[in-house]
This record gives sequence, C-alpha cells and structure tokens, in this order.
Amino acid sequence: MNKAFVVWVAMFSFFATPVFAGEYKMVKPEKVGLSSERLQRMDTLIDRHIEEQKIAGAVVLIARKGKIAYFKESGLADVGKPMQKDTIFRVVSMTKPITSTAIMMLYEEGKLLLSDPVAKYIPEFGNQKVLVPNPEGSPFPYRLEPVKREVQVRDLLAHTSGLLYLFLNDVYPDRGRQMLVDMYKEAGITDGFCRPDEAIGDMVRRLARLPLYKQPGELWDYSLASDVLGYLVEVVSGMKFDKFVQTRIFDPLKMKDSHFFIPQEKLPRLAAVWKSDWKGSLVRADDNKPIVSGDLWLCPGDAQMLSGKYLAGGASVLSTPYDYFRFAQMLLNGGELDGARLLSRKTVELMTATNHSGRFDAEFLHSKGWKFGLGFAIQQDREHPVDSGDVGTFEWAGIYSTRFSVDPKEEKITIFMSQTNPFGHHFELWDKVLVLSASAVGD
Amino acid sequence: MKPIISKQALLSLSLLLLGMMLISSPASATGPRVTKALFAIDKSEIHTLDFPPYLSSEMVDGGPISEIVNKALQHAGIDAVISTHPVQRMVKYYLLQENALAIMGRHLNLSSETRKDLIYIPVAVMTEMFYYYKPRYPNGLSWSGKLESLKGKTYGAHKGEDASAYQHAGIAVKQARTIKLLKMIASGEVDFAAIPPLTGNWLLSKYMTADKENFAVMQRPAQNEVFYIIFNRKHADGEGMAERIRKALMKMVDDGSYAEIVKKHLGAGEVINLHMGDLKERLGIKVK
Repeated sequence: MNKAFVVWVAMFSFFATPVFAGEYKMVKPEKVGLSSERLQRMDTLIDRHIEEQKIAGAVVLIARKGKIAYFKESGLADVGKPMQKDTIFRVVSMTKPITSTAIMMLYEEGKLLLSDPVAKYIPEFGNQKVLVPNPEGSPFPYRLEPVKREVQVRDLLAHTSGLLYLFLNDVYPDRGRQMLVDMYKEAGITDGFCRPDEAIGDMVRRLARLPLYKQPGELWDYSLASDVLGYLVEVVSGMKFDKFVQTRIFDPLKMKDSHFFIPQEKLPRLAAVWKSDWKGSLVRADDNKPIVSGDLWLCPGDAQMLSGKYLAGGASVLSTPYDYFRFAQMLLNGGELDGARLLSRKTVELMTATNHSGRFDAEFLHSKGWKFGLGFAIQQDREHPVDSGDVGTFEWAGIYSTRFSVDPKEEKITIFMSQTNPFGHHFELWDKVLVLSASAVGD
Repeated sequence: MKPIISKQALLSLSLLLLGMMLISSPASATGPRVTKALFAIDKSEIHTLDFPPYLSSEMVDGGPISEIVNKALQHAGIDAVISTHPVQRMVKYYLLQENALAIMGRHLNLSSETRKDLIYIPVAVMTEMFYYYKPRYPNGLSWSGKLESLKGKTYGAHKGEDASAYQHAGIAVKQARTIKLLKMIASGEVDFAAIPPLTGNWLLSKYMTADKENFAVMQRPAQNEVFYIIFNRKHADGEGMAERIRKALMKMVDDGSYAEIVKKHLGAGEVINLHMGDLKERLGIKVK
C-alpha cells in the first residue's frame, strides 16, 4: 500500500473522527472553531486553584456546535479519590432549570398557563397577604396587607413571587425580611439544602399560608419558588416530581447519572464537599455535620441518602457534567436532543426572553445587565460590566460551586463543577472559566 | 348564475358574525380563570394554628375540632370560617391587630390585659402525656405526679406554653414547635415534652417514621389542657356570638352529635371521654 496514502488515511481519521475520552465522544477543538492552545489556559487556571488549595478538584466541559471539545477532570473528588469525568455532583440550584423545563412541558401540553394564579392548583396560595413592617417603635412590628394580585406561575419561574430563601437574609439584611424569615423558621420552612423528612407538598402548603415579602411582580428575589414549581408539577401531572423528571426529562435525554436520590452502586462516584477559606486551608467537610453560616444550612451528607420524601425543585438533583451538558444542549438546540424533543423552539425562546422580570435585574449571581427568564439568568446587554459571553447567554449555578453557561450566538456550552464551600469565593473563578471559554473561540 | 345567498342575507349574516365576535367572551385554554373573588372571604374569620390531627387541612373535614366548631357555628347561625395558620404569631396578629371575631388554640400566652377582652369557650379537653426517648432511658422514665421528680431534666415546651411550674421544680426549659420538640427529644436536647398522644403519634408517623418506635410515654398523664375558641369583645359581634356558640356546643354534647364527630375521626371507646372530659360542666358556665 502506498505509504503516503496510509499517512493520509491516518491523518484524515485523526481530524475527522471523534476523539473518545473514556466513553465520551469528543472532537478536536479546532473542528468546532475553538483553539486547543487557548483551551490549555483552562488547565492552567484550574490546576493553579488546586495547587493553591482553593479547591480540591473540578471538572470543566466545553462544547460547541453540539460537540464536546474540552472535557477535563482535575484534582480530587474525595480524599484519596481522583476526580473523574463521571464524578457525581450536588448541582443544587442547577436543579431549577430542570424544574422550569418540567413546568414548560406541562405548559406546552395545555395543562397550565404562565398567567394562571398558582392558587388554581394549590389553593393555599389564595388570599395571600404581604408582610409590611410598621415603623420601629410601633405597638406591633408589622401589618399584613392583601396581595394586589395573586402569585402566578410566571412569578414562580421568574422569581418575582414575593417568596424568599432564608439564606439570603444574611445577604440582604432588612427588617421585613428578618420578620418573615423568623416566621419561616417557626413554621419549619427550610431552604431544602438539607433534606427534611416530609413531602415537598407539606412544605409548600405551609409556605403558601405565610405572608409574602413583597407584592407579586414587584420584586426580583431568588427564592423557594422552584420548590413550589416542583410540587406544582406533581399537582398538575398527577405524578411524583422525581418520577416526572426521570421519565420525561432524564430518560429521553439519556441523562443516566442524574438523580434525586443516588442509587447505592453510584455512591462511590459522589464527590465530597470541601471547605475552603480560599487562602490555602482546604478541609473535607464532615458528611455527618451540617455546614451552618447564619441562616444558610447545608447538609453535604444528605446527598448519600438512597431514598426520601423531599423532592426540592430548587435543590435536590445530583448530576454529572456530561449529563448536564446534554440538558443544556437540548435547550441550545431549541428544545431537542438526538431526536428527543422536550420543548418547542418557541418555548425555549420564551424561557430565555429577558422581559419576564420587568425592570428588575437578576443581581444575585451577576450584576446589572442580567435578567431572569423562566428558569435562568440571561445576559441582556453589554452596557454593564460583563466579563464574557454574548447578549442572550443564559446560565445559572449551584451553591456547592457548579455553574453552566449557554451562549446561543456561539453555539457554545460551558460547564464547571466543583464541590466547595463557601460558594461566595467562587464567583471570580467561575467568571474566569467563562472568559477562558469565550476567548478560546477561534473562528 | 343566481347567487346562492342573497346580498341581504349576506349582510345579515355578516352583522350576526360581527355581533358574535364583539359580544362573545374570549375562550380560555385551561378553563375558567380563578379570580380573587373565588377565594375572597366575606365571612368573619376564626384564626387558629395547625394542630393535627385535631385541626388540619390535611384531615377529613379539617379534623374533629374543626368539624365540631363548624357544626356549632352552623347551629348558632354564625357565618364564619376557620383559617388555620402554620405559625402562632399569625393567630395573635389577627386577634390583636385586626380584631378578628375569634381565635382557637392553647398555649397562646396572652397578656392579662388582652385576656380582659376575650371570652373563652371550651371546645375539647386534651389529656397530654410526657413523651421521652427510649434509647436514652432504656429503663423507662416516669414521674410521681410531682414535677420535682423530674428535677435536673430538660422539658420541651410548646411555643407560648407557660412553663414556669417546670422551672420552679428545677427543670430546664427549651421552647419549640411540637414536631421540633420530638426531634429535640430524639437528639437529646430535651428529655421530655407534654403532647396529646394523638398529635404525638400523628407527627411521629408522618415525619419520623423510622424513629417512631423509639418514643414512649410516661405512664401517668402529664396534664389536662383545654382547647378553647376565644371570642373577641372588641369585635362587634364577639360577645353575642360567644354565648350562641356556647349554647350550640352544649346542645351538641347533650344530643350526642359531639361524641359522634369524635367517634368519626378518632374512633369509639375511651377516646371520646378523653376528649370530652368535664366539657359539659365547663360549658355550663354562661358567658358574662
């Protein structure tokens, strides 16, 4: 055989066929317009954070035009256990886009409307009141005022419902918020980051009978709204929330390692959570002790539960970077992946529209210039201090340091997963990951 | 060729269709919208705290106390609804700030000044038992009938419960809601708490299934607590309605319908006497 021909075939095979990293189908970055050389900067960034003992380990996945071009695991998943591509992470708030997708599937089936009052399905949301603090020194600290309009499904998706998260009490100190958080605590409402021994519906029905923090639609406040949506899926579909998500989202998208409760055989693949002061002190968190910081309660060990009742639409999912890539790719494709259509293109456009939260910015994870759609934050403009990405980029993150970002213009997905506490240190690292991902675009 | 429809008929048809378009209401994809009016409450409200299985939206007819009070309201010709809240402070808010017609409950910790404006009508008698955790007391835990016999231990009191007698007896006190008290008993933060057995068992079955068998009650009952409906003299109808509901409850005790409701929810036998206790005597006292 002609030697030149053999070389040509070999070279063709190298560039044209997918590169396999384990069982994952990958392509050379250049094949999808990304620079291999520039992507090496990601190795350097993550390795440096590991060397400096800021994080124990991480997995980063970058895909473009539907192909994975960068997929790298670094450091440790647990003591003596290297990070793997298929390590399972607590994605916590990255559960929310999955829950929003479930709701939008029901919306597409004509089972509910975004403008429906939630009380139509969960009567406890009827006749709600808003807590208004009285001036300091008043005989009674607050008064309850009727809602001007009822909480709608759209409010839950866009976090404009007037519900709260307890842990943000430390971030946004305010008398009214404190009063309401005290009520939440007295009523046994938690953020769901530790898994209570009750059904999600029990919590939601109690929550609905407590006052709201603000009038529906008059504030953007990141909250337990996604947990309410999870229960709404149960009410509207007649299925348990985890079963709905499993059969209608995880199975069709072949997200084989995504679960509400981890199967026993996958326990060895679950990453540990690490406590980092970002200055070199890195300690594996005790699985048997909650991590408490003000009103934030985290229970890393709860991810080892093999079963339970609490199905938090805002927090409960465990997943892998690859599985989450498949979910994000479905959204990027306009609702379809590998022949499985979950949503229509029009619905994904609706979810990623920037006008759902009105004049309010989604500032919790970002700064000005980001809006909240129906499940994630969306970059609205470039007039504000934005580090990377294009207008229309949508993303969200999880409290143990996980983040995903979808840039529709560049057809690019970036996923970062670590398991580190506290998450406050991570904003800079996440942003740098996204900058390096964006700057690897080479076409 | 002769037109199938005359010009005049066509004009009439067009006008008819236009009229239909203008007059007809828009279709709704998911059935009629729920307006606020559907949930608006024009009636007087009686505010109370969730107290399963006696008073809870999770129970049939809201639980036995809810059904008893609703029947009594009906007999008394009072148009009022019961609103259950997940926290005590909301019950007090409606009483103190919005002059609600009435509230229901126990352990309300109201000041003597406030109590002057209130009329207490007994609805049920609750026998409470002391719950404790068997693994912590493998040989059992008991009391003599005098709280001093539990000196040195920690008592779990309900929010608003007057626990001064425990403190005087040398017993430390920690306060929490009932389910939290049971969890605190399991974790060792408190040693015992007084809970009506039906409530204790209901909460353990629902929220602490795996641990339920580790709980036990002391043999001697802890105390009898009376569950009241408390009318507000500051409400224009408070006084009059209090007397009417007292009479209605009295009648229900006399004609057996009270016992029938207890039987329906909680079963027959001793449980009926347990919840009626000396209710007849207590109800015999006219509202002043």
